[in-house]
Amino acid sequence: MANNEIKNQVRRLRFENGEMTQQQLADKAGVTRQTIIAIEAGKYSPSLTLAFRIARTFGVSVEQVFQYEKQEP
Amino acid sequence: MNKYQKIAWFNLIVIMTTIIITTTAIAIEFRIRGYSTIGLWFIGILALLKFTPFMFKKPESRSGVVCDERDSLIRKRALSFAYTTFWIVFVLLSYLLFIIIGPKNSVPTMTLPLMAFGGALFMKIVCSVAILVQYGRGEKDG
Repeated sequence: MANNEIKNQVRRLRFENGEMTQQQLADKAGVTRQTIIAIEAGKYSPSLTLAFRIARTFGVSVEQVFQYEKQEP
Repeated sequence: MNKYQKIAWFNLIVIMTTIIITTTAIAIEFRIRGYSTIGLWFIGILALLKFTPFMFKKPESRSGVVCDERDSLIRKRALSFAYTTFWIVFVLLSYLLFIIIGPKNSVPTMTLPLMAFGGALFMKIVCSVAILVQYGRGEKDG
């Protein structure tokens, strides 16, 4: 479920958007607060649909919220 | 705590309570009368598990979201894990029974219904624990 290769800027974007609470973001994205907590902690990688919904909530592109960082072996 | 966590806790509490009460009742009755018939009726407490679909319906947020994609994924994984674990235990116990009793002996006909009943309870317990463990992992931050 967790994917450490995917980093996210959800926490930073929440604070840049008027210190939006996790609950407010969850309500706007149509998920539970627990899911936002898990995403911010990097313990859950959202589906593409949810990633787009979160990005749209902040008014930015998906790449600005989620970054794929391939670790070299 | 969301709907699936509450259901998992409810299932575990009901099953454990039933096991403790039934075992105690059977033991007491066995000690007094030498056999047990009334004690088994306490298994009926498990009927409470049938009420879980009607419980914990209240959404945790104003948007009315009761469960989302992560909850569904957690539930699917827990069910899959419980099913796999059940089959592994079932096969191992079957072989164990074969080894202990031997190929030419037989088991009482009550064994099969007991295995089916015990298996269902076992799956419910494993599934509930798997749900709680998965939620526990994702909630350390927040």
